[in-house]
Amino acid sequence: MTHDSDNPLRTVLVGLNSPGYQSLALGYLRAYAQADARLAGRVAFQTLDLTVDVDPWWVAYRALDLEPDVIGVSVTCWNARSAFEICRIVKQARPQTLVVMGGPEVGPIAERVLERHTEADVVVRGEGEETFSELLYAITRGRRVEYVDGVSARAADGSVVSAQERPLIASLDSIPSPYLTGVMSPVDGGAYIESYRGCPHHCSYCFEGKGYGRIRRFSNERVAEEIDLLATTSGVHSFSFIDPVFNLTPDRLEWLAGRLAPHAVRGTRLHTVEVDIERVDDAQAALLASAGVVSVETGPQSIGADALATCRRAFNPERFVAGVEALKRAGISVECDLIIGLPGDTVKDFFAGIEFCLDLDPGIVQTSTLHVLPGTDLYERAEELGLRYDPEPPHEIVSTPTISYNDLRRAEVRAVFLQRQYRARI
Amino acid sequence: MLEFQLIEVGSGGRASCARCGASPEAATYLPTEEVIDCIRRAVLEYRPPGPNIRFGGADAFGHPELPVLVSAAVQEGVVRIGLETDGSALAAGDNAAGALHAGVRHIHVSHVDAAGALAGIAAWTQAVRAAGVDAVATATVPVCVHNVAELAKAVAAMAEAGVAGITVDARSVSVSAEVTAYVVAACDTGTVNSVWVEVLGPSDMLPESHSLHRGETGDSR
Repeated sequence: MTHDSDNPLRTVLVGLNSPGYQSLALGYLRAYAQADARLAGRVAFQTLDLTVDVDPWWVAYRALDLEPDVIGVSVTCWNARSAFEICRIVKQARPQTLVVMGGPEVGPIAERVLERHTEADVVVRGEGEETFSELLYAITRGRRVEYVDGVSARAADGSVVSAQERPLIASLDSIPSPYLTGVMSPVDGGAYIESYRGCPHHCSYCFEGKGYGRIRRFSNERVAEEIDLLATTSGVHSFSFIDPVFNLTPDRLEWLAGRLAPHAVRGTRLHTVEVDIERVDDAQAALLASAGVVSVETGPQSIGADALATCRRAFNPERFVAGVEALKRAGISVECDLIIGLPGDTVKDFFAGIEFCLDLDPGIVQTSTLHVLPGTDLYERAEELGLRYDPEPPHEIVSTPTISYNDLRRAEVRAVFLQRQYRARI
Repeated sequence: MLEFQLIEVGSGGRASCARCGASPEAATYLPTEEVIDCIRRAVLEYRPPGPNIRFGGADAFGHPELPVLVSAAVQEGVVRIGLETDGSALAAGDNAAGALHAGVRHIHVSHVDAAGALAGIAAWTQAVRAAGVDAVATATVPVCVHNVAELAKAVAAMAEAGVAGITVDARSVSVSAEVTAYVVAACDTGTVNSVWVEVLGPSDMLPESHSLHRGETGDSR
């Protein structure tokens, strides 16, 4: 695209979140780009941090009202249908707007997205902060966007091309904090801190461990500043961590608890942090309680031996039970998660998992249906494993070699019924 | 899977199909202290998660001191309290809201008198919405030759009223291709309306394709 260099590049970022939440991803993109001296005065940002239930035509209306030169949309499997519709409308109404998509739903299948969605001009693959800034810089300099590392784009002749991969950001502290820079204002219950990227586990259905590779951490100083800011923001009584494993190491947990405890004493609470429950003992549970943690989320996802092996998940029932009991003794509610439709699981395995969880009386038992997400190991091995799933987002499982389509639907209905019964208590 | 200990508040008085010819005996209710003793025993003997109890044996709303019984259950630490009813008493006055306020979270309706059952489920659903708490209604449909053809319709009506799960008690009907077709239709109607339908009866009542709907009591004949 060509850009009139006399005027700032009007860049609109669109997030479609669950109600009550904000897009940390967009916060990072904007904070990183705003800190790029090369873009100062050349790019003007507006963020539309909305909820996924807003009518796509209304979102497009608001975006078009800002006459964007570039629209950047964060796409997940949950908001993809709306996101594509918004981009389609924007492109029709304002063809000169460059439509840039990023996020886990499009990054791993960038070329396919560009081939299928003519409204998309550019897809950012993988970690977006540096690539998006470089993309904006290329536009302001009148350079071809398809040569920016980490993007796939439509070339002048209409063909879809991919530039080379961009390495992961070596130092996460080079990404300015959206909270500390004022790009995002924390909201009660909807603010998240990310203290590291990557996951020690590599579960086949999950994007987290595969998309980010090795674990990279934000510095303790940076995390401490974010904690202090969120905990002292007027009206913010609770927030959470987006980390895949909050108790990543004993030292890390001890440090986090030490930073959070003074705020917990004054009433700040952490909700729904994800823990590796098999590492939790009474000492860890006490640390979590002192940090203000009121609820944690954990597996087992399945207790079926075949599914666990296929999905590369470890599960030790005795240690799992011990972890739940330790947390309950510390007064922390546990959400046990199970997935219907994992390869290798039968319906009987799935309900054995529910029974296992109910017997623990953890607080919440939550079931969800498998989504075969782009970029995951299951997505790549779907054919080999005989998984049939909806090719359209959110890519829900349709059938497996061990569970038919109809039995999946029946299992969902029964699981929801059991969850409602369990939740219905004084 | 989630076990409820039945606490009998009395016996008799339960409606049954008028066309089958059985006339209900008058309900009799147990003394309050006797029922409270049963609650205490249930709390001592429960298996997690719980303790969970369900007042039944006769329509729970017929017990003259039901509020005392519910209050005693709360005091004893019961976390899930259920009531069995034919539904009509639940629909009367503020009974649904009152039961919720007292701590009842599970209502189990016997679907014999369809109008009464549906009115009770609807009143409960409305009260639950107004209170903003987690609570569920379940139902049992005793199947006989006179209502089997209407099973799917009954399931649809209860789903619309807000029931979460239905037990189709087909233990007193003989298996035939026709009966199986009706029961299968009831199961499918539940599934498409997000209501779980469980079937009690001989294992060959349901084809293999619908084996998930077989009740936990299995072949109970």
